[in-house]
Amino acid sequence: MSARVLLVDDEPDILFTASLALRLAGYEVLEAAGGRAALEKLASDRPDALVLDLRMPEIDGWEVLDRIRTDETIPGLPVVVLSAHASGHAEERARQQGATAYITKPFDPQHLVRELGKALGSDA
Amino acid sequence: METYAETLRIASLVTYGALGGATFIRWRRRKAAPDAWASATFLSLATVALVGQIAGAQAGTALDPFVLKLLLAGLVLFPYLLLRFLASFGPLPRWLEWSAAALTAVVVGWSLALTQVPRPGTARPPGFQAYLSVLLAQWVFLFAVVGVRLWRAGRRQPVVARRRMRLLAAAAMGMSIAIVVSASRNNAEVTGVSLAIQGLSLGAAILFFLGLAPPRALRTAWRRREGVALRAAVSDLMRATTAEQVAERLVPHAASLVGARAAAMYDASGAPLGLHGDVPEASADGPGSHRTSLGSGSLVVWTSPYTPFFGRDELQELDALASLAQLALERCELIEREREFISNAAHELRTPMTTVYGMAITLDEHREMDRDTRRQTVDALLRQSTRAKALIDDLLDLARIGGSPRPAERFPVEAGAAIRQALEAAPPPEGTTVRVDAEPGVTALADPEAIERILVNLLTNMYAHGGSNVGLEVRRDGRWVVIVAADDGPGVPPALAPALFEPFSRMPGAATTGSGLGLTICRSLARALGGDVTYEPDGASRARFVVRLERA
Repeated sequence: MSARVLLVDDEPDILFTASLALRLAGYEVLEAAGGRAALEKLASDRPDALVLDLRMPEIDGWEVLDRIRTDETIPGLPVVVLSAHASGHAEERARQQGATAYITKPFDPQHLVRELGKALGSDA
Repeated sequence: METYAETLRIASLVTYGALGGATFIRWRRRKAAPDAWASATFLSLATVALVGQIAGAQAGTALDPFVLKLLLAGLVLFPYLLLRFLASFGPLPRWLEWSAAALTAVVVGWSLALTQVPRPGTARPPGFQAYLSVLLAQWVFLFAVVGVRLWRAGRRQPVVARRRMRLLAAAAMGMSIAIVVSASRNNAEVTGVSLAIQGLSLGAAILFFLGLAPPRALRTAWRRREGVALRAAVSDLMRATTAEQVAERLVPHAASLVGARAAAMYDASGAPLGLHGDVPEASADGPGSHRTSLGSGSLVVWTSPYTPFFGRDELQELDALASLAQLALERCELIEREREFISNAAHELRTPMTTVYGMAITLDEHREMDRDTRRQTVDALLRQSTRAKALIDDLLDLARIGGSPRPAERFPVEAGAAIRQALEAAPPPEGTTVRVDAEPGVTALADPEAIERILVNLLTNMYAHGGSNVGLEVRRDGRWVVIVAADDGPGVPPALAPALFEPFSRMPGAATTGSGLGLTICRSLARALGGDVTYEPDGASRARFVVRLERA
C-alpha cells in the first residue's frame, strides 16, 4: 500500500508541481491550500507524512508544526518543510519544531521525493 | 635704549588696547559669562594703561598722586578679574574665593589710602615697602592660581583649546615674573633689566591676545593634524551601511574632536545606538552636554566647562560632522530599503521559478505522461513563466522610471481620451461595470503611454480586489487635473493603507497574481510627470485612488 502524503501550500501551481512529482513517484497525495485546511485534513484523513510550506496567510507553517508537536494522537509524524527562507536560522528553528527535512524553494521535485522517502523510511 | 623702551611701551599699550577691544567685541557677540569677565579684565587693564600714559604725558614725569592711587587700585584689580574669568567656568574652592577677595580688598583699600607714592629712584619709606610686598603677594598668588588651574584644565582638551589655555597660563606666569622683578628694583633709569621686564610684559600681553583671540590662520595651523584625523573619520563614516555602524564610527570621533569625556548617539526613539566614555546615566541633557540633531536621532557629547569658550571651532566642526552623519544615516536607510527590495523581489521570483524548475525536471524525467497531466503541466508552466516575465518587466520599468535623471517629457493629453484608451487596454471583466464621468476638454500635461499605464494599473487592481462598480471621474482643481478612480468594494484595510504604494505590499490573503509593483509604478510614473497618485478613501470606506497631473 502506498503512503498517503498531505501536501500544503497556498500557491496552486507549486501545489500542483509537488503533487505531480509525488504522484508520479507512487504516493497517494492529499492537498491543502492553507494551514486551516491542513489541520482539518490531518485530523480527518490521517496521512502518513506531511509536506508543508512555511509562509502562508492566516495559519502559517510554523503554527501547523506547533500544533502537530503538541498533538498526542500523531506522534512522530514525518514532516518535510518547503521554505522560501534560505537562512540556516529558519532551518534550525524548523528542525527544533519537529521538521524531519528542510527543502528550500525553488526545489528539484526528485529531491523532495528522496527526502520524503527517507523521512518515511526512518519512521518505519 | 630710551627709544627701545618707548617702542616696547607703546607696543604693550597697543596690545592691551587691542585685547580690551577684541574681548569686548566677543562679549557683545556672545553674551557668555567667560566673555564678560575676559572683557572686563582687559578693558580695565587697557584703561589703566591708557590713562597712565595720558596722565603721565600731560604731567611730565610726576603724576597727580590721586590719579596714581586710582591707577594702582585698578592695577591691583587685574589679577582678581582674571581669577573671576577662571571662576566663570566653574566654582572655585571656597577658601580660594575668600582669600583672593580679602587680599584684593586689602590691597585696593591700601592703594587708595596711601599717603605718598615715592617716585622711582627715590628712597621707599617702610610703609610703602610693606604695601609693595602685600601687592606683590596678591599678584603672584592670584596669577599662580590662574596659571596652574588653566594649565591643568587644558590637559584633556583638543589641541586648539589646550594651546589657548596654556598660552593664557604662560601669560599669567610671565606677568607675575615681570611684576616681581620690576618691584624688586628701584631705578628710574632705562637699563637692560628694565628693558627685559618691558619685553616680558609685552610678551605676556601677546600671549594673552593669542590665548583669548587667536587669529583664524593660527587655529587652522594648530588643527592641521586633527583635521587629517577628521577627514579620515568622515570617509570612514560614509562607508557605513547600517545605523549601528554609523554610531560606532561617529561617537569616538565626536568625543575626541571636542575632547569630550563621553559621547553617545541615540535613535529617533531615544534608544542608544553607540556609547563612548563615561556616559552619565541620569539625563542626556545635563550640565556640560551638547546635543546635535541627526534628523532621525541625535548626537550628545559631554564636554568640560571650558569647551564652549575655548573649543568653539571644535563645536562648530562637531555640528558639521553631525550633518555628515545625518547624510550617512540617510544613505544607510536607502541601502536598507534596497536590500529589502532585492530580497522581496527574489522572494517574488521564487514562486514562479519553483514551478518552472520543478515542472521542467518532472517533464524531463517522465517523458511518458498522460495527455491531461501534460496539459496541466504546460498550463502551469505558461502561467508561472508569464508571471515571472511580468515581474521582471515591472522591475525593469521601475528601475527605468526611478533611474531617469530628467523629468519625463510631457505633452497635452485629453483626460477623457486617456480613460477611453485605458478601458480598451483593460476592459472590465464580466460582472464589473465602469462608469465614466469626464468633463470634455480637460487636458493634462503627461505622457500618453504613462497615463495609460497608470490608469490600466489602477483599473486592474480594482477589478481584482474591488467591488463590481467602478467609477472614473475627471475634474479640474486649480492647476491640477484630477482623475478619481473609485469602486464600491470594501476598500483597503487601514493597516495596509500607509504602505500601499511601497513595493510588494499586498492585501492579506489576496491571490498573488500581480507583481506587487503595480501601485509603486503608478506613483513613480505620476511623480516623474510632476504629479502624484494617492489613496484617499471617502467616508463610505470605498477604495478611492486620486491621480493628479498638471493642467496643460
